[in-house]
Amino acid sequence: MLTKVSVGRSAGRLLVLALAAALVLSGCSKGTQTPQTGPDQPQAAAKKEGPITVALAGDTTTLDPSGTELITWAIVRNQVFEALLKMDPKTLEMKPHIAQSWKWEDPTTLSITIRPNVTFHDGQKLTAEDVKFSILHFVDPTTGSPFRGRMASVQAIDVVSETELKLRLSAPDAGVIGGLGQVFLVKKDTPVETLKAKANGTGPYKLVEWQQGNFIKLEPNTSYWNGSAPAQPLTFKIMSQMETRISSALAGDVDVLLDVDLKEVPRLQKESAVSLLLSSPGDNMWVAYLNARRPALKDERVRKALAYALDRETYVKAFQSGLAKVTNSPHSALGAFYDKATEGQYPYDLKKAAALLAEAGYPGGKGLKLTLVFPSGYPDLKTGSEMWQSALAELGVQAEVKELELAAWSNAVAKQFDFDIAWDIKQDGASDPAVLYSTTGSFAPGPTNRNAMFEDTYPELTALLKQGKGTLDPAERVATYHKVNEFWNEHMIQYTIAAKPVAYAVRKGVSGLDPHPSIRYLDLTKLKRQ
Amino acid sequence: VRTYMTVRLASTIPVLFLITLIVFAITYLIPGDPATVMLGPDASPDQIAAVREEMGLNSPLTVRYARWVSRVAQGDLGTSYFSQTPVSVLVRRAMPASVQLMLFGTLIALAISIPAALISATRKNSAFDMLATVGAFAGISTPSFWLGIVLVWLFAVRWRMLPASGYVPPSEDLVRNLRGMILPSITLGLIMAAELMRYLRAGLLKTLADDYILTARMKGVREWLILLRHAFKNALIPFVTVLGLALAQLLGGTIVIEEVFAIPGMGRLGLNAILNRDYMVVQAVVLVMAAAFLLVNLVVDILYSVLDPRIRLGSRGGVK
Repeated sequence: MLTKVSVGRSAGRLLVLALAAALVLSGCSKGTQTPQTGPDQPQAAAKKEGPITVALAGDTTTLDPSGTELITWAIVRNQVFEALLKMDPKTLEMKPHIAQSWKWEDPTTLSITIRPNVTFHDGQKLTAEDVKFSILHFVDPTTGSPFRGRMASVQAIDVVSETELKLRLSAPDAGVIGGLGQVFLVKKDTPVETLKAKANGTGPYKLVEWQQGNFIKLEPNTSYWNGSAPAQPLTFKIMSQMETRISSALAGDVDVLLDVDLKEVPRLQKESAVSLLLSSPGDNMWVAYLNARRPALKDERVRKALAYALDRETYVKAFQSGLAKVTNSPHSALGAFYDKATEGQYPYDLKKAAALLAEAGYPGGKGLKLTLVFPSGYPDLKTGSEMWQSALAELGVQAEVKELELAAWSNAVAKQFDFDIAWDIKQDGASDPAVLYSTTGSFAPGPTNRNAMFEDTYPELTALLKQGKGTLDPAERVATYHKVNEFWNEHMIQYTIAAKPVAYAVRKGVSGLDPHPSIRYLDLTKLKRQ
Repeated sequence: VRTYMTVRLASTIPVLFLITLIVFAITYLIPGDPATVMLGPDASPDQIAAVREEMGLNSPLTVRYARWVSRVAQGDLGTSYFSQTPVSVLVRRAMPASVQLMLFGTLIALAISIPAALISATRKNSAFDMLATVGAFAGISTPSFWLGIVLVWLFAVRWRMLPASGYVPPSEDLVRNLRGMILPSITLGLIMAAELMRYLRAGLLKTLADDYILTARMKGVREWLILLRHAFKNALIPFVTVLGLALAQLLGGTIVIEEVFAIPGMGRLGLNAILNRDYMVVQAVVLVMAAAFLLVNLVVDILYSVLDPRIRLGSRGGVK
């Protein structure tokens, strides 16, 4: 028996040794120390030295500013590269940035004057030739920008002087102004391979290291053209799980959380370690594509019935912490083109939905089978889809909900058109409807669309869109797009569900984050530790 | 032993070749297209076609396979479609974190399971044995991501003792590296320890009931000597088998742990590559993991022959 005790003692000693080692390690580090307090107690300020760390939900796939429109890359890109125009966070209007001014010489000629004192990170001066090269790179299909359609009407670019250029358009296109906020500037004649691997922008931060799947490090650009370099370096830590990002912020490992799930907002509001900042519901929007390629959904009565069958108010209250705003407009509520008259349309009304279905030849939902798809990794879309499914079941409609991995969802929705209803989150970073309805916009009419915007089905809508794009008078454009919205809802072209605010969280002691409603245009240059 | 190792090593070559075939076929069966993923759902068919051509995705599968295998044979794993970085660079960068995680996880699992099994087997039905058994079942049935989240909440958020996530290479800061690896390694190790402990305990109990143990006891050999020199050594053979299998499971387990703790290892590299349909990276990660599994099996086989000299290829009358 003694021997058993000795075995037990050895094991016990080992355990004590291991615990001691772990405790020693947990207490020592070259890095900064954090006080051992719980989350409910007053937290000390975030680490005083070192870069400000920002949790990023995913990595980029390229350093080419036009190579991808992944939101994660767009956030980093916005600190390193700059476009001619910048979106105002309050009005969502495009404001001068690298372009000092612009002027329509006639409906198809736009002249632009750029700032004379802008330099790239490698010290070279930015010229109009660089701007021309950047626009051509952006519109080149092999570059791969999904937003290239925003500049599709640009036919020729004339460089007038070192700081002046003229865009000649194939037809009047007011949406080009929105596109100019999307063309990020690179040095002329930079080979594509170099653009993909090395970031040489004009922005307030320089990219110093990108370790794929791990982090992206930025340092202040001390020779920034407007003379105000950011106070501290930035490190983007790549953390794909929302729970990991939140835990890391609460533990003091990261300083800034971006695009926090709205359902996590009440929980984080109770934490004293972080402060929450919410943007107005603006650019981001939950939408449902109603595939009018399918015979049942070709009938607008069925599409309308589907719209009446989703209780959007409950969805927002119960699953989005009441922070989102139900919308019946594809246009951002913060922009000039939003039509308040659309508010209150399509309330939850199963009786009306049943009547419309009966009228369309599906009494009691009989004979109507639908497939509802959403991409995995988005619990908010799953909840919404299931809510909709149960309401449709009450109407007698059989709806199958399919959660597809993102690439498979993209394939089913954009390539095969193999769905009846598809949930998506629209994040165009544009408030001008001419951009939304451009060939690569979220609501593009044409071969890639996923709704009911077919030129032959609704020629009236096509004419209105053409008019909205081709008119330069602001008041006339607003009136035209209000008509578009009216037509859109009257025929349920596509279902807009709710506009989503963007939630940000920063650790106590960190300031300077301006919560932009379009995360693509988030400016992190004012971030600093107090 | 040398001949045995040579034959075993040679036998891995056709297996590896077969793996390349399976890996390649499975990768291309995944629904979705890298060009669509790269360009986003708003891309036009023309754009997708242009990018597919640029990526070389329009060549027949057999041509693409032959091209890939010949490159792999020369040590070239290809280039990532997305980042244009050589895949070997990505793998080399991700490998240390995963190896360290698996090594630490295994050490923790062994450090827990062996003493616990020894005590449990020698004190069958005691309070410790009961506790260890309950603990082992809890460990087996606990999802690793949940355990990881709980440990993070306790040790990082609540008590602020350890970092919640991230990886610092040991060459940059050894202490921060070790601190960062504690929670993920414990998460991985605890789950593995539970299974190992159950097998070793059962093996020890069976061996302790054998006649030769009784004979040793009758001869007056000390109990700890019987346990360690006779019973433990014999119980190690099935234990090593299970350890080999557990290590294979560990390869899969690291994917979850790397996600929860944001560790840029092989699992995360592979997962992101699957989501992006970055075929070259997917193929490389699976191939490297399969090769690692073969290597582990090889080591296990060699350990057999060390533990039991009868298990050798070609030994007369020996068990093979």
